[in-house]
Amino acid sequence: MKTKLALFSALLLFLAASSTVAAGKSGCLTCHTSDATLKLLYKPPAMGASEGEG
Amino acid sequence: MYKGYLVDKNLLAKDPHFAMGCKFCHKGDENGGTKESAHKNLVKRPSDNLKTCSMCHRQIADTYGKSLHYTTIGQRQGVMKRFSSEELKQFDEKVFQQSCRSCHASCGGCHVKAPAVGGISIGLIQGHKFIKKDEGKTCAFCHGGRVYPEYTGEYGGKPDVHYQKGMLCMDCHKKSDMHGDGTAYLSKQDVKDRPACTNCHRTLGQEAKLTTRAAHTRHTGKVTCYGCHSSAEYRQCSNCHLDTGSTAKPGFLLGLNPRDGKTLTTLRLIPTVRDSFKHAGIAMSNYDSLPNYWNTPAHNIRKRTDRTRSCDACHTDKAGFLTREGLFEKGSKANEGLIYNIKPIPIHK
Ligand code: HEC
Ligand code: HEC
Ligand code: HEC
Ligand code: HEC
Ligand code: HEC
Ligand code: HEC
Ligand code: HEC
Ligand code: HEC
Repeated sequence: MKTKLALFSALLLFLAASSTVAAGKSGCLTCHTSDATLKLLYKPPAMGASEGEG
Repeated sequence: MYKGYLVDKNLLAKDPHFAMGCKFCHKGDENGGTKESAHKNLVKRPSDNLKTCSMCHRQIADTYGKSLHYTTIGQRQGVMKRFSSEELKQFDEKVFQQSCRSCHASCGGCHVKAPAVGGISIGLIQGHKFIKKDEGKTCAFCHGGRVYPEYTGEYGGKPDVHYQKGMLCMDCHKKSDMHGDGTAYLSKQDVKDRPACTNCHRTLGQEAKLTTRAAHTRHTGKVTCYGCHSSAEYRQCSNCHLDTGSTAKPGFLLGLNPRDGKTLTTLRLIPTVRDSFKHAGIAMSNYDSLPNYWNTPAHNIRKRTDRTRSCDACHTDKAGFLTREGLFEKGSKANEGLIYNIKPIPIHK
């Protein structure tokens, strides 16, 4: 039980530590790589008044 | 669309840009548990700050800072003669920074995210890949009012012959034009590496067909390539106002090039009208010093047009020529000077 917990926290630590170094596991990615989450959080922009003239 | 914010997982491990985490470019709080807390102090457009990319792309960022895409100074130079010196100062303070400069391109606008038009963007290109180019998702949006739809034929008429042959923007325009070459040009006319038709078409005037030969040898320095080869109506804008935008309709116009005062070429109505900056309290004392029509390199080239089919289209019918009656109402007095009085083809010879 004790060892299990230690292992778990070691794993947690590992994940937390890696998140600041590699992009692989950061908080940004939880949302920005998830189709479902983004769909939920997305707010459509209001229409602007201008149009492209270039 | 939310998909425009979706990052492709598979890129993260491979692409060196992500090695230091999102925070490296976007700031914010990687440990924030909610959208709001994670986005605290978020930088949405990191490449607007040239330092973000210059760390690794030093040379490009240095020249880019002086390019027309970044300074957008061309827009200021374009109207400045219409202002008194006091008005120019007001323009710089009230209009240029807020309005004109807001349309400048960040590196990301060509390499990461499709630029917004009217507040709407399709978002990240290929899930946040740092792409070399994708004209249809980058150039196309900012140049989507005129150049792009004229080029592809979406604005009416047939597509440009080069588009049909599979050529896109960067087949003619050079990277050094996009990134700048280190010179802070004031106008696109001055850019050294800008394209020219004759860079590629080098044997004009040597054609087997007599009329083609005559067309090409008789008009050098008199008529631009666009004058004969622009194939369809293109967008004419008018009534630009800071608060309400502008209106546009299709049209084809031939007249004197205001920049050299001698060649016949395609002209485009540009949208600055007498009261364009009224909203900002700027009157344009010297409004009449510049015309409302400018020479335009219409991107709708075809081998055969109404004018390549008939010499008379110009020499007798004056088809499409700017006329006094056709001039833009309440326009600049300088417009009259652009009306071209062509002569019939000399009979002998
Ligand atoms: C930490 C260094 C670093 C930073 C910061 C950086 N880049 Fe890069 N970039 C690179 C490297 C390394 C390559 C070469 C990658 C390769 O060849 O696969 C590259 C290549 C590119 C490419 C070419 C991609 C291709 O397919 O050849 C583009 C476009 C690009 N970067 C744009 C940007 C932009 C825009 C920024 C700023 C937002 C930026 N880079 C910031 C390191 C960086
Ligand atoms: C974010 C919007 C934006 C994007 C993206 C963009 N442009 Fe532009 N472009 C502009 C603006 C604004 C100007 C006018 C600059 C000025 O004030 O002279 C301009 C000017 C130009 C010019 C004339 C000035 C010069 O430097 O020669 C060319 C050519 C051009 N763009 C081509 C392109 C091509 C090709 C692409 C895609 C690779 C592209 N643009 C992408 C906004 C954009
Ligand atoms: C107006 C569009 C535009 C803007 C703005 C722009 N680029 Fe580019 N960039 C291009 C094009 C087009 C290419 C060439 C693609 C090709 O050759 O296939 C390119 C190529 C690159 C490459 C690939 C390496 C190379 O030299 O070919 C890098 C890296 C790059 N750009 C970085 C940047 C950075 C950094 C910025 C901002 C400081 C920037 N670009 C701004 C259009 C742009
Ligand atoms: C090397 C710099 C760099 C890194 C690292 C980076 N981005 Fe970006 N990101 C950009 C650029 C450049 C843009 C386009 C905006 C601009 O022109 O500056 C952009 C745009 C975005 C957008 C669209 C924003 C909007 O308002 O439309 C999202 C979402 C985004 N990035 C998410 C991420 C996430 C998630 C990560 C980490 C996995 C990340 N980015 C890492 C440079 C970066
Ligand atoms: C067949 C070659 C060719 C192709 C393809 C091409 N252009 Fe051009 N473009 C030119 C030439 C030539 C000029 C005029 C340069 C000059 O005389 O200053 C020009 C000028 C421009 C200008 C300046 C416009 C003005 O009013 O002065 C812009 C903006 C531009 N091109 C954008 C684009 C974009 C965006 C694409 C892709 C949709 C594109 N071009 C494709 C040849 C080309
Ligand atoms: C980067 C090189 C390049 C530039 C710049 C360029 N062209 Fe072309 N042009 C081509 C190519 C390649 C073709 C296709 C030739 C073919 O398939 O026979 C073509 C085809 C044409 C054709 C059709 C020829 C035919 O036999 O059907 C005309 C007309 C033409 N170009 C005119 C122009 C004009 C006018 C300009 C300037 C606005 C221009 N080109 C700029 C490369 C270029
Ligand atoms: C006075 C009108 C006129 C002008 C100006 C003009 N052309 Fe042409 N061009 C023609 C005619 C006519 C043809 C033959 C069309 C046909 O065969 O149906 C032609 C054909 C061409 C072709 C195809 C050649 C072939 O072998 O069939 C190209 C490429 C071309 N022009 C490019 C240009 C370029 C580039 C310029 C500017 C330097 C230019 N033209 C200026 C009238 C003109
Ligand atoms: C786009 C309009 C246009 C078309 C089409 C056109 N021309 Fe011209 N042409 C001009 C202009 C402009 C001049 C300059 C003299 C003038 O202003 O009257 C000119 C001048 C000439 C000259 C006198 C050259 C000189 O050395 O003074 C001849 C000859 C000529 N054109 C023959 C032709 C022939 C033949 C065709 C058909 C193959 C043709 N043109 C088609 C516009 C055109």
